[in-house]
Amino acid sequence: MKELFFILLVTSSYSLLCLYPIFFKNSLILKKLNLSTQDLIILNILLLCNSLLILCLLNLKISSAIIIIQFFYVFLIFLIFRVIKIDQTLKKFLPYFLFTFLGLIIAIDIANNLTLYWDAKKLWLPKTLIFFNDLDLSELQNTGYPHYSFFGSIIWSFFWKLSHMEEEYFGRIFFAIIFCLSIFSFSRLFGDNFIKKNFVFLFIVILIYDYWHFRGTQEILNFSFLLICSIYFYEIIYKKKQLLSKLFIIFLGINLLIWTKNEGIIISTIVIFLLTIFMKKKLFFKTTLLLVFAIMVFLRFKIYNYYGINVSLSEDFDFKNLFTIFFSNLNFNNIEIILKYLAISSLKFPHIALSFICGFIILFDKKLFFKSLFIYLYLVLSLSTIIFIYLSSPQNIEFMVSTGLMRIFFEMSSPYLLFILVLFENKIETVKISN
Amino acid sequence: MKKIINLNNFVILILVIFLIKFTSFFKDVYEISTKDHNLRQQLAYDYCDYSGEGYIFYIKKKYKLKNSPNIVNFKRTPSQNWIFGNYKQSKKNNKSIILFNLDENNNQRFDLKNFKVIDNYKNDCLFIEKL
Repeated sequence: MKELFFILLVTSSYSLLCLYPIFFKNSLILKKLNLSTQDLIILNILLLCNSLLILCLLNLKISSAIIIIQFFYVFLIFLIFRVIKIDQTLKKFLPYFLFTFLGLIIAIDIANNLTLYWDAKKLWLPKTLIFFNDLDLSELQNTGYPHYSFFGSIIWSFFWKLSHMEEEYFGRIFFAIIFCLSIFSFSRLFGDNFIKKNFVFLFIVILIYDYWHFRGTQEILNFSFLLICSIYFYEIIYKKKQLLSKLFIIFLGINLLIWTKNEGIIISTIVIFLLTIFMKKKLFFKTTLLLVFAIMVFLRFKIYNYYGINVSLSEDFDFKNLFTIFFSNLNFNNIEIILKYLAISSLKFPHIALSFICGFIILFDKKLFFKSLFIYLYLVLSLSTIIFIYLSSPQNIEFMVSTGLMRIFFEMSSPYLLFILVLFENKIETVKISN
Repeated sequence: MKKIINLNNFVILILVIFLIKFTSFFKDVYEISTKDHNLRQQLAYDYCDYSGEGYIFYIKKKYKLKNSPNIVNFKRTPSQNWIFGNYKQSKKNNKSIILFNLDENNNQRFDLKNFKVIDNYKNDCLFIEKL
């Protein structure tokens, strides 16, 4: 019973940590920045994650990072209660109750299921334990696969330690909160109707949620960060809201993608590439964006080098002979294996199947198709990347595909959800109006 | 007065109930409130069949182990020191957990000479101490 009480307490605290910007709604400074409450919630969590990453990259121990961040939040809470009346804030919090409740349902499921996946035990948990035990960053070199990105392990250990509990799953509860937050923010794009937004939120969570994603692997984090980036990607390209604040949020998300998994570097390259193509800005601006992204990737490798950690992108590939291997593997049989597993994955993850159906329907509306061309291009590039990755593998392709394709496909899949949004906005809403 | 129970609210309620059912929420709540974390870990993993993690959790609780003993696992698994909060094997420990000690012909793989057996599960999973 005591454990149950702590799960409730920890989940509510983590949710509150995400949602506290709702108290800031009336602030004049934020109004000037043209940010909605939803943007603030996202900005808050991305800033928290990025600050945590920077503190750890400065080789600060997790215990010290907790003290710094706790001190900052105590100061913030003091500020909030001086500025805002409590009766107002309670009313504001009510719409967010469902978010906290869903987080709790998932947290309870994690707390009882507990099983960790092989990769989580082999790759991610040892890294988490290094941070949890306040060891030096260079110690990562002594873990299996030291060249893998480690931000997921940082937040796992941070929230585990923050909970003051012995059990590791208290760190993983935050994965569930990030997952819920990304879908919650995405559902806000479906209009202003409170019921409609919550319906979409619940529907997508039901569609995607499976304990499979919370077994300690990091794909769910990349999926969530990419979904957050997709929201602003959509607003900039589809809604033509080209605000610097939205770009800033995308870059914060991309930085987390880069540091969470090595594939994140490839995914973020696709996002930045599409952003520069579809943004209606001058060449100088686009070049600056590319340069900032290049610096972020360069820093990732430079920091690894500084701490004596292996900088290789992946040890499963022979990069010197990448294209030779690719062309030797390029045959009908191998492509068939990859396509077969892509089809299986689409059925395993119903949100992908539903997105593809929506994407297929949009194809018949020429105007809408051209308007949402950036999503189709993302789809083509992401699928080509997956095919290229597996065809370039020097290992047995069927084994590689059967063990890893589903997870890569899942983490790349969040922008596909934009197909559902575009179709919903244009077709379903139009039918309703005409009736 | 606005109606609280309308079709929209009803649909949301149905979805919440579906999610609760889908995640076995009430069963999970019952399990968490009646079984401690260690016992749930033992049940989440196999006891002494595939990875032996359930047996390690059992030994950890029974002998109130704080530090990781030497873990010798004759099957291919990732390091199991995480169970004790360590990412690698601690160097000095005279206690060991031996997992899957019997080969396919029921012969012992680990030489138990100079060791005292503290816990024995079918001669296959053992908790031993150096004499």
